[in-house]
Amino acid sequence: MYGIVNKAIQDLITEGYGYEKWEAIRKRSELEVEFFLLNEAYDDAITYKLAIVSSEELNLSTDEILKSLGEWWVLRTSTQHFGSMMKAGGKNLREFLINLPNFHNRISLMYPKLAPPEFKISHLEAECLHLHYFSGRQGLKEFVRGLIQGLSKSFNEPVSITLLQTREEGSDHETFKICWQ
Amino acid sequence: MSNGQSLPHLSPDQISQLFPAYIIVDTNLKIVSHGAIYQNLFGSIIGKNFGELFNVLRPKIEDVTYDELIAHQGMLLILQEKSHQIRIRGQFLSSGNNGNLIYCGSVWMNTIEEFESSPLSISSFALHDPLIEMLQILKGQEIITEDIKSLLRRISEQKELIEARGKKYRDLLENLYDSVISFDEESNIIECNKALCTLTGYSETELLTMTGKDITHPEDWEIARESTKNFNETAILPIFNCVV
Repeated sequence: MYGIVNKAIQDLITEGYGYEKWEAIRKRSELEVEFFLLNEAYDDAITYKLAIVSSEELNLSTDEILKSLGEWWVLRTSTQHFGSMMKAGGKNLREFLINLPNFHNRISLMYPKLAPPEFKISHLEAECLHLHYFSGRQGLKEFVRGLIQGLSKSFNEPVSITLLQTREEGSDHETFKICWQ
Repeated sequence: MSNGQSLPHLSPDQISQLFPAYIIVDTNLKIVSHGAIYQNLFGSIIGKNFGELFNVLRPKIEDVTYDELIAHQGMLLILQEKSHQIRIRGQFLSSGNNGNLIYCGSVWMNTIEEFESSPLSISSFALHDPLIEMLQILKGQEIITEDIKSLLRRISEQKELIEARGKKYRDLLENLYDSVISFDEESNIIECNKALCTLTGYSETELLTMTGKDITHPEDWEIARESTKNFNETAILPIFNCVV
């Protein structure tokens, strides 16, 4: 993954729990790098290790860490680094989600080493829609849930998020049902 | 959008000028017309099957059929031509009443080096296409990034060196038989060694909450203070007379 993902974890931990806690996590993760360059590709193993060690150090489940990271990604990282693109993504949550598939196809052109996930939208109804998440990476569904929650907060549109199917239960992708409250 | 008047018909050459990487396929996905860049890459590709020449990189389509391409109208489709792995970004649209689909797209690259090593030339890009200029701008940014990376490497190396020297200093301090103590400007104790703990009977934790005055004989305090006057920063002094 690009350094910006690891930097997001660093910022999330540092802001929420202090620099010393981040240093403890960084040292326990045995990172050889001191700084993450945002546009540099790093081994995915670094990101997974950071998430696991963070969950141990903070006494939270990995899923909780990933969900927090998802929210943080939307509310802080994306706003800071891709603010213009985020604003261009849609005027409201519904429009943003409908644009998400093309948005990620564009991202894949900008970051060729990223292998970003694919999204599809189906069951488009007045109050609900289905968001399909396809990824070569395992175990990041709670990160996606956090992303949706972050978007919901960002647009100030409360939603319910239900996981309908997952690779852990035999499907080839995850499907979230998102309904406006 | 138009004001209700019909739009001008464009010839294949004109379409090629606007979209040098365009393709038109029929309902069997046979190519019936194409842009100029394919002539350089393949020779004529009229009549060839779309799937023979192109992969769809994104979105993931297991089986590229006419119906799938129809279903993906309005989506950004990233193609890769198979002979030189050149990526093309664009979208399919229905073209006329015969069921043909037109793919309007442009070549996409991420680095100017990718362009230089490709068989394409500047004329492979439409005049309105800003890619080549953007790649040049990116190249400038890349050079700056390399400089920053080099700087970061040096900072990391220097930090490791400082940490190693700090450890060496600390080891030396701890193993000295003489007591050594460091004060800040307000004469607060900020560092001491084991010998000082032994000498004073205080633990290191206790000493770090004390001042120089607390552990100096009252008669020696002025002498000690005088001796630190010339230090602008933290003073490191051997202990000469302590209250024990």
